[in-house]
Amino acid sequence: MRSLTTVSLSGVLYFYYSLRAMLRQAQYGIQVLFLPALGLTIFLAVFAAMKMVHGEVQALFYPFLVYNLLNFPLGMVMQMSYGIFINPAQSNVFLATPSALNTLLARFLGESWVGLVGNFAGVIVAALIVRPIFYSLSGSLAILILLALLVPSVWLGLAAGLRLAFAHQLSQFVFLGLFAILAIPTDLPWLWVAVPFTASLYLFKQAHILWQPFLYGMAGVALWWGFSRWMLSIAYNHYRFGKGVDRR
Amino acid sequence: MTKIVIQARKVSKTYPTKPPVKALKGLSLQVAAGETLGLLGPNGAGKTTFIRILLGVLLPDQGRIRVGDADPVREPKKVARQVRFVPEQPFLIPAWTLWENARYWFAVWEEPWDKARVGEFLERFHLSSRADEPLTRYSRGMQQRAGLALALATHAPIIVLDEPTLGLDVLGVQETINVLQEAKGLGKTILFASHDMPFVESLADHIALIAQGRVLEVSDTESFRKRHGQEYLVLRYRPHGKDEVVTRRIRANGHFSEEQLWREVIDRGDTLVELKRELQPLSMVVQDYLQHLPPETAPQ
Repeated sequence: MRSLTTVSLSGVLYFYYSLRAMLRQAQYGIQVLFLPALGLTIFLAVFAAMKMVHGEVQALFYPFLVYNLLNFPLGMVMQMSYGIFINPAQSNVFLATPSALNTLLARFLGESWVGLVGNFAGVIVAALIVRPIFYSLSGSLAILILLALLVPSVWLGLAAGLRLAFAHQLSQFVFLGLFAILAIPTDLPWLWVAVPFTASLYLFKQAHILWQPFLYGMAGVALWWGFSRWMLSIAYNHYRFGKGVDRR
Repeated sequence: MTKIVIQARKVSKTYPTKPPVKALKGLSLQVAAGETLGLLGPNGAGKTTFIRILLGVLLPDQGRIRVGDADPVREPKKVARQVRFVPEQPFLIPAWTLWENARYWFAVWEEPWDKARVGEFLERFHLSSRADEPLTRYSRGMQQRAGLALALATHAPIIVLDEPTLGLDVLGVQETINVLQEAKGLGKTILFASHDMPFVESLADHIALIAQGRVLEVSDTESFRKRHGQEYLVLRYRPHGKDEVVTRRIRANGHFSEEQLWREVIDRGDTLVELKRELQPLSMVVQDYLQHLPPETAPQ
């Protein structure tokens, strides 16, 4: 409970003071504009390619939404995690606090709010271009799966940045993940469990509620929660043994 | 009887790298409550590794360690509630003001927010007049002093510092000495690591001399000074065709070791002044400085 209070308070403070700092340094405002632009560039490239081959451009929007919801917690957190753990002097200050890793998570969430806002600005622009059809009932279930996936994605991002020497490069692969998301099939039940966002993409296309993909997707999310927490715990133990990204 | 708050017994640590690096080889040490202990040793002696183990961030391979009433291996959270760690680089968030940093770090340290107490500490360490400015406008020394002041303003009884003077100019070092001198009056237990002998001597009640992962000796500062009162000079120079001349000259006078492109020469007293004079025309000295570390800490 105490840890939860620490994490939420420190996360909110980080967000608030970063906002104040940003307003103090006006030039940072320009950088904010680049964030949606980065994601949108990828979207527009794919959009143009689809137009050229007379593909269904409407089918682009939901993969783009999934991409944004994965890129922010997985890719950005991975990059931030790597950035801080490569420098033990900085990471150890956080690890030597009572909530240790959770404090760092709160910091990343507080820090990446600009990225999150930027991502969603990109999503809104993409929605205006594509005008996707949204079925409220099945669409809500699909969004629920995606939201539940945020937590394990953040844990995995943190674990990778803590342990893998190539985490920085890996996070750049995640950044290009839209292409992989577009290529992956969405109608395979076993894949709904293994890769829950495929269940979500399937649900977005359905006019009526379908419980099977939702339940399979949520079962997959539960597995990912367990797996990513386990990965984080392994990564942290390795770090404590001296096998972190900062090893000599 | 004095209460021991930090106790390490035969702590060993080998980093699992290729090849493995033996950082600590059975290090034993204890620090009494309210004492200021300086860990003195050259780079690579194992000081930072020991501090990381003490904080619970790194696990030892062997040995036992207790900090306050907790075991850092099994209870790092409990240790974190009793210890404030200040690393060798300023750790506060530079874009924020000192007040913003104070509020944030108190939340992270799980300390009840007490604005009056923090204000008192900022005043004490001459920081209050600029506490509303972002830290980007502070010098490195001032940023380091600010981090230290916040750590001291908490109720944690133990303060651990790793190379607090690293990268600071003479003024910054003096500022740090002043803050820590003042901190000693607060009754906290302070453990700090440094390779700077005059700095350690100016602050510590006891000095633990560390080299090659072991404690070579622990003594009170006065007897340490008596024993190691002489000055030692370390000359760093790039290997050169005329190495032979220098090496012969040095071997005759002191210790010699080789480290990649750099070589360290450790010698005593006046002969070094001569040696320096001798090296200058050879244009081999790239950097030279007074290290003040006893020769037994030289790498083997």
